[in-house]
Amino acid sequence: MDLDTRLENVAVLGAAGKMGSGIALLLAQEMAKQKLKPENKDRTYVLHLIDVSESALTGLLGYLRAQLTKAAEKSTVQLRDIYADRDDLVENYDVIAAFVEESLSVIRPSTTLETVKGARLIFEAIIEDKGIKFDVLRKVDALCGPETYYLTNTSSIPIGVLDEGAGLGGRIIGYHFYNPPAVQRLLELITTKSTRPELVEMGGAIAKRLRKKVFPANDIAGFIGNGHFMRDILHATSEVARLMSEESMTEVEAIYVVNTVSQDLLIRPMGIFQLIDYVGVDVCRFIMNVMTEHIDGETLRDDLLDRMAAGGVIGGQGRLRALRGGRLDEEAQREDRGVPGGPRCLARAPDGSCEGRQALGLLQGARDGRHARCGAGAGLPRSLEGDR
Amino acid sequence: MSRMTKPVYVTAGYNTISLGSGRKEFHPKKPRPGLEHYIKEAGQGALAQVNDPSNVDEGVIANFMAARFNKQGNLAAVMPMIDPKLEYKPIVRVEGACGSGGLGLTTSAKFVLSGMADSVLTVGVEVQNTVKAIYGADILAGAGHYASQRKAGHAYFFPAKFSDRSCAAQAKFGAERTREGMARWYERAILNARACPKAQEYHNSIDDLYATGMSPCDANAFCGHINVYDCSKVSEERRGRTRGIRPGRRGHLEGARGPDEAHDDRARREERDGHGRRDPIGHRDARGA
Ligand SMILES: NC(=O)c1ccc[n+]([C@@H]2O[C@H](COP(=O)([O-])OP(=O)(O)OC[C@H]3O[C@@H](n4cnc5c(N)ncnc54)[C@H](O)[C@@H]3O)[C@@H](O)[C@H]2O)c1
Repeated sequence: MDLDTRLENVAVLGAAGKMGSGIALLLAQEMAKQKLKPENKDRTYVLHLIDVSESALTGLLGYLRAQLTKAAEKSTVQLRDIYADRDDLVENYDVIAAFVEESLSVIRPSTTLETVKGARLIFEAIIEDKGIKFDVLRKVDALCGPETYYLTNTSSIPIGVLDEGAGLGGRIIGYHFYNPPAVQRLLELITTKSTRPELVEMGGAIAKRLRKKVFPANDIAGFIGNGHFMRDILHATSEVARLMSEESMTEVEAIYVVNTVSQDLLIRPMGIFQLIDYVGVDVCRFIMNVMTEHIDGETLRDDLLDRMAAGGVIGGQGRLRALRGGRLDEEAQREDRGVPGGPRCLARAPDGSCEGRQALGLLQGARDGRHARCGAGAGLPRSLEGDR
Repeated sequence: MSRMTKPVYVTAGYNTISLGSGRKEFHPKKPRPGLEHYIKEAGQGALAQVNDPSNVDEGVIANFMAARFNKQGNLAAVMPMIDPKLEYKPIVRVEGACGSGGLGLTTSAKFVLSGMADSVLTVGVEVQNTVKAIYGADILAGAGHYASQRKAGHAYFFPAKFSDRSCAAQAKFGAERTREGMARWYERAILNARACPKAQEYHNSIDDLYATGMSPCDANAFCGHINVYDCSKVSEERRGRTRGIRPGRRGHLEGARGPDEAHDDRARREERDGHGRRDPIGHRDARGA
C-alpha cells in the first residue's frame, strides 16, 4: 500500500496532548492539501484523533482551528494558487477560511479506540508509560490488522521493546518530533533490525511532506535528543547544588543563574529549567526512568525534579509559570482546562501571552525576591523556605 | 480654467504619529487608538492654530476604506467630534485610494474657489492596523479594479505590483544592483524617519540598515522581488523629508484655508513677518505646510 493510500486514513493516539495536538495539526494540513489535488478528488480523507479525555478533545478542536488559521495565513501565497479555480474564493480571507474548513473536515475526534479501525498509519503520542503504550498499541493492532504501520513519538522507550511488547512484527518506527511539533524542524527517526524497510522509507517521505529534517538515531533509550537533554538536566541540577554549597546561593538563585547561563551563554532560546518546564517535569521523569531501566550501569534520577513532582508541579508548555506571585494560580488553571495538553500556561504575561521564552514565574520570583512563598502551593520550592 | 481665480492658502497643519511596528508604543496585542482618536487629535491640533473653530465654514474628511478597516462609514458625521462648533457645518468625505489626502485638499480648495467657503478644515485619516496584513491586503486591493484584478492577484496584492516593477528593474539593471539600490533606499528612508519624531520608523534602531535592506526576497512567504523592508520606503522617506505630513496615512490633518484674513489674525501676522508658509494650493509643496 503506497503512502498516498495510507494517508487517506490516519490516526493520532493521545491527540489532545502536547505532542499529539501538534502532530494532528501537521497531519490535518497535509491531508487537506492532498484532498485538494484534482487527482485525489475521489478519495476520502479521515484523521482520527483519539484521546481518553473528552474535555481535552473539545479544547483540541479550538486549538486546531486557531492554529490552522495561523498556518493558513502564513501560506496564503500558495493557497491562492491551490484555489485558483474556485471563482467563489476571491479574497485572502475566503481562501484561508476555505482551507481551515477543509482541514477540519478530515478530523474525527473520539475517545473510543474502535473508531481507528480503518486507519493505515497510526501516530502514537500517549503518555510515556511503557505498560500503557503496550496495551493501547496491542488493542489498536487487533482492530486495524497487519497492514497498518505505527509511528511512535516515544521520547525514550527503545523501539525494539515497543515492537516486541505490542507484537507489531517490525511495523513500528520511532518518529520523535520535537516540541512543539508544528514548529520544530528536527525529527529523529529510529529503526530496529526488524523494522520493515518500506516503513523506514515511508517515514522519510512523510517527514518531507511535513517539512521536517530527519535524523536517523540508534535504538538506545533516550535516543540522541533526550540522551543529551536528560544528562544536561542532571548536570544543571548538580551545578545548582554546587552553587548552593560553594557560592552560598539559595536554591532558587542557583536555578536562576544556571537557567540564565544556559540560555544566554549557550545562545539558546530557553534556559535549561525553562525547557524542563516546557517539556514537562513529569515527561522528563518518565524519560529518566525509562533510560535508567534500559541503559546498563547508569541511573538517571534527579532529586529536584522528584520534589517538584511530589508537590504536584508538572509544568508542560510553560505551566510552571503558575507560580505567579508565589502560588499556584488556580483561576488560570481553571481557565486553561480543556486546552490540549491540559492546563498549559497557567501564568500569563499581563498582555495575555504565554510564550515559552518568558522566564518561569519561579525564576522571576527569584529575581524579585518573591520566591520563597512558592512553597505554599507548589511543591518545588518547599525546601526554599529554609533559604529565606 | 487654466488659472485659479484666487489664491488659496494652507494656514495651519498638524499631524499625529504614524503608529506601527517601528514605534515603541506599538504592541500588536495591546489596544490601540482608533479612528476617532486620530481625527480628534489631528483636527484639534490644527484648530488650535487658528483663532476660533466657528470660523471654519466647511469640512472635508479624506479616508480610504474605513468601512472595512474600522467598520465605520459616514465619516463626515464623525468630524464634529473635533469640536462642537463644527456641528451642522457642511462636511463631506472623499476617497481616492492612496490619493485620498490630496483629494481632500483639492476638494477643500474647490470649495474656497467656488466662493461657498472662506475656510475649510481638511482631515486625512487612516487606521489600518485593525486587521492583519494578510487581510488588509484584500481591503487595499479595492484601490485597484477589484472585479477584474483581485481574484487573479497576489495574496499581497499591492506589494506584488511593486514586486513586478522591481522585477522589471532587475531585468534592466541586474538583480544584484537593483537589490543594492533598494537596500540603500531603505537605509535612507529609515534615516529620514529617525529625524521625524512622528514617523512610523522613528524608533527603528537597526544597526546595519543596509544589510537589513539586503535581505533576500521570499516568494513563498511574501513577494518574489521585494522583501518586507522595501514596503515602508515611500512613506518614511517622504515623512522624513517633509517633516511628517503625508496624505493618506493615519491621523494627518491638513488645514486648507481661504484668503479671508479677517478670520485669522495670526496667519496674517505670520505672512507679514515672513515666517508663515503660505503656498497657494497647486504649488508642489503646498502640502506639509
Ligand atoms: N513533551 C515533550 O516535549 C515531548 C517531546 C517529544 C516526545 N514526547 C513524547 O510524546 C508522548 C506524549 O507526550 P506529551 O508531552 O504530549 O504528553 P501529554 O501528557 O501532554 O499527552 C499525552 C496524552 O495522551 C493521552 N492519553 C493517556 N492515555 C491514553 C490512552 N490510553 N489512550 C489515548 N490517549 C491517552 C492523555 O490524555 C494526553 O492527552 C510521550 O511519549 C512523550 O515522551 C514528548
